[in-house]
Parts: sequence; structure tokens; C-alpha cells
Amino acid sequence: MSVEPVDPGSRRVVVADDDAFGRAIIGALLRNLGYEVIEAGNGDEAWACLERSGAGILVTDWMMPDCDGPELCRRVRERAGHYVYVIMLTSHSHRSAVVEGLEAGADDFLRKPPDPEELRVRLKTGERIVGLERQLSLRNQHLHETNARLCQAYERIESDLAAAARSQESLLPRRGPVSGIVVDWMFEPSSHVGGDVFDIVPLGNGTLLFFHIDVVGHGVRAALHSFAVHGLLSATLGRRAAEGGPLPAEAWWRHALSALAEINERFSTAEGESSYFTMLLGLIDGASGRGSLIQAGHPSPVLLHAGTRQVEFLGEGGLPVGLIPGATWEPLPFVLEPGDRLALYSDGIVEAERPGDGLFADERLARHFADTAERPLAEVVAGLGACLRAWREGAAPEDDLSMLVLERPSSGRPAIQECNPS
Amino acid sequence: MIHAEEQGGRLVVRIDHQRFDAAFVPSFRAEMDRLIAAGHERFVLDLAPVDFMDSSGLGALVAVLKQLGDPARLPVCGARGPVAKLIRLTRLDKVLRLHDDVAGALAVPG
Repeated sequence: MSVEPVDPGSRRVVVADDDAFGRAIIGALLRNLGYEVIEAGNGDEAWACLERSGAGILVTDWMMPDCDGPELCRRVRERAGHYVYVIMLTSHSHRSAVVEGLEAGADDFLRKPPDPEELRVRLKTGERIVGLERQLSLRNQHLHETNARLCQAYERIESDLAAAARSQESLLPRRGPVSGIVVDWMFEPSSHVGGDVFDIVPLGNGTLLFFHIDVVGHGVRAALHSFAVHGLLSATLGRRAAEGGPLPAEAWWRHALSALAEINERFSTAEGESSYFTMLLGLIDGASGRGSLIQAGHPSPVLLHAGTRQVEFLGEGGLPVGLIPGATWEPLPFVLEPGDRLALYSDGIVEAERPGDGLFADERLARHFADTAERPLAEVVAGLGACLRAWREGAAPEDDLSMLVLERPSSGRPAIQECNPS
Repeated sequence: MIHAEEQGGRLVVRIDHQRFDAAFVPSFRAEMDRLIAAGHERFVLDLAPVDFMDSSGLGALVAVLKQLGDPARLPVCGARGPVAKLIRLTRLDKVLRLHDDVAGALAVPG
């Protein structure tokens, strides 16, 4: 630890005595000991000297006109901006005077006339205490400044993250009808930003591309990867459509699967700490409700059959993207009849945990969709969010929670609810 | 949290931890790195005490598998409940050498 510089205030002494002779003697003794001495003829003057000079030690006579020793002492304790070590000179040393002096805030007493050796050691004590006090206040000030800098840095990080969260949300699709399909979603990252991302993109000719991705981990690292993956998929899978019009589903899948194989090789053979993601990627024709999807390690999507209120989990799994080199996937066909719903979601939903009661699990998710089969879509999605919060008993989510729901509207149920707050 | 013991010519690494998740991954990676650096090549990974594994845990498991170069060097046993479900869902049951228990993993020569 470094030695802090000696503070000059601890070697600067104000001597207050209305008796000029007594003052001069003490002053001379202290100067001989190497102290810087400022003499004051009364209490008010002494106070002014203390304030002006920043002296750390005060030697004051008890009896002075107007402002006496105890009064000066009280003023020092109430108003001084730094600690002043106060030695009071008394001609009487009975107990009541000691009590009054201590109560006024004196640190030490000296009999008048002071013995030079006693004066020396008592001043030494004062000097030590003033030195310690000043070191302490310097350190406090240092801590205070460090703390202020930390607060500032924290606020900057918070506002950066909030901005990142806004740009992440701006990537999410619009709620409502698109090419004959009604879309709704929920998105609750476990921190400001998350590793979940999803989108639904019209490819023209009534065909929609949709995907839901969960990048391993959560927080900023996962969010950065999810931004990258979103860009990669939109660029590779949306491009062909823009260039040459919509492809037939089979041709599109050939193109998509080879793009995916490329992404898989790039991620899974990367050096060092690699990242991977799970995904559902699909294609649906809004007019017929015919679609196909691949399941890359993502939870099996929920398909609610509106007619029977039966809930089916589509698919049996598949390798994630970017984990194992050479992975392949096979599109799985499905059909959305009028009123049917298809929900794609991250594992955070079924793995939401209630302390001592286990996971939310597929069963509760299925029941929610069956129970709300007659309700408008927005209500189903908002209701699930409320269910999950209740299941966690108000605790913050441990993992990112998100869900993308596609509905093929039917005449028997309102496709869009009357009042949409968002 | 991680218990390693020589058994039948292999090092049996038991994860004595309920959650094999992002928070646990660094200690798992560090311990496996240490054991591999100490010259061990043939393991059995016993997941029996694990109740829950997340995607980070799965990623770490595959990373160690890649480090060893051959799934046969790290047969996995004791996966149950959500852990077994995750392995099935991600089709890693086709990649990993899975066994019911340590005895089953040790019975396979190699």
C-alpha cells in the first residue's frame, strides 16, 4: 500500500487565548516543535482562523470573553468541514469541568500552565488522529468517485441494452393477417435482449416462409448470434424469391436445405467456443393451408385442430443447426384447416419452472391451446404469457420465452379481437 | 460436483449436479480439460444425478465429444427425464453412445 502524503493541516495549530502572554508561550513552544502556529485572541477569531487555514488542531483556553472554550468547541463540532482535534486548557481539573468539556466535544485537556513535554506528546496524539481522519476522508472521497463512475458506466450499459432490445423487437414480424394467415406472437427475453428470433416472410404467390430460432444460451452473446442468424437466413432463403419470383415448394426446399447445410458446416466446424441454434423452418401456402417444415432440434410445434380441439405435437426431433457436421433434415408435411393453429416456441416455455413443482411441460401447453380453442388468437397468446408468469410465481424467466403462432382463419371465430392494446 | 473414478479401464465421470446448464458448463469444461490433459482418453459420462440439461449443457457435451474425436471414447449413461427428452429431440441419440447405467457402458469393449 502506498504512503499517502502528510496533510499539512495536521501540523497546523490554532492557539486561542485572550491572554496574550499565555498565548505567546504556547505559540513559542509549538513553533519549537516544528508546528505552524496561528494565534487568536478570542473564540470568534479562532473560528475564523480554523475555517481559513484548514488547521487540524486547536489548543484553546477555557475562559475567554464572548465565545469561551466550550462554546468554540461546540461550534467546531457542528460546523467544521473537517475533523479538528481540540485540546482544552484548564486551570481547574475537577470532574464537572472535564464532563462539560467532553460534552462540548473536546478531545483532550491540559493543565495551565502546560508542561512542555506533556504538550509535545498530546500534540503528537492529535497529529496522529487528524492524519488518520484525513486519510479516511480521502479514501471515502475516492470510493465516492469510483462509485459515481460505476453508476455512470452501469447506466450507459443499461441504455445500450435498451437500445439493442428495441432493435431486436423491430426485427419481429407484424401481428395480424398476412397472405391468408393470421400471425401473433409473444417475446420475453430473460434479460434485455435474447437469443430467440422468429419471422414470417411472404415469398409472393400466397406462399409464406416462417421460422423460429433459439440460439444456445441467452443474453447479449446469444442476441448477437441471433441477429447474425436472422440476417443469414433472410439473405439466403428470401433472396431467390426476390430474384426469380416464387419457387415451387420442392425447389424452394432444395435451395433452403443446401443453404442450411452450408450454415451447419460453417458453425459446426468453427474453432474454439462454437455456437449453434435450434430451429423450425417452414413454408405454408395461405390459400390451401398446405405446408411443410423441418425441425432442427427445436421443440415439436403445437398443432391445434379446431374441429376436434385435439392438440398434436408435430415431428419427432432433428439435429440442431451448427452442432454436428454433415447434419441433414427432411421436410415434414402438414395441413392447417380453417381455424387450426400452429405454434412454434422456444424450450423456455415448456421448461418454465415452478419451485418444487417442476416444469410447465408439454401437457400444460397442450391443455392451454385446447382450452382456448374458441378464443381469439391475441387472447390465447396473452393468456399463455399470464399462465407462465403464474406458473413461475412471479419470478423472472430463466430463459428466453417466445412463441410464434400461425392461424388459418375460419368464419366461426373472430380472427382479430376487438381491442388490441399493442 | 464432478466425481471421477477409474473403473474397468475407463474413467467414469459422474455429474453430481442437478442442473447441467449454462452456469455449470464452465466447471464441466475445465474438469474435462484437466482430465484429458492428465492423459485420460477413455471415459464414461454418468448423467444419472442430472435432472435438467439446457442447450448450453448439450453444446458443452458435444464440444468434449469433438475434442476426444470419437463418441466411443465418451459413452453416456443414466440420461433420464428431461435430459433423455432433450437428447431425443436433438437426435443426439444417433450420435452419442447411450447406455442405461455405468455397468452397461463398461460392458462395451473398446
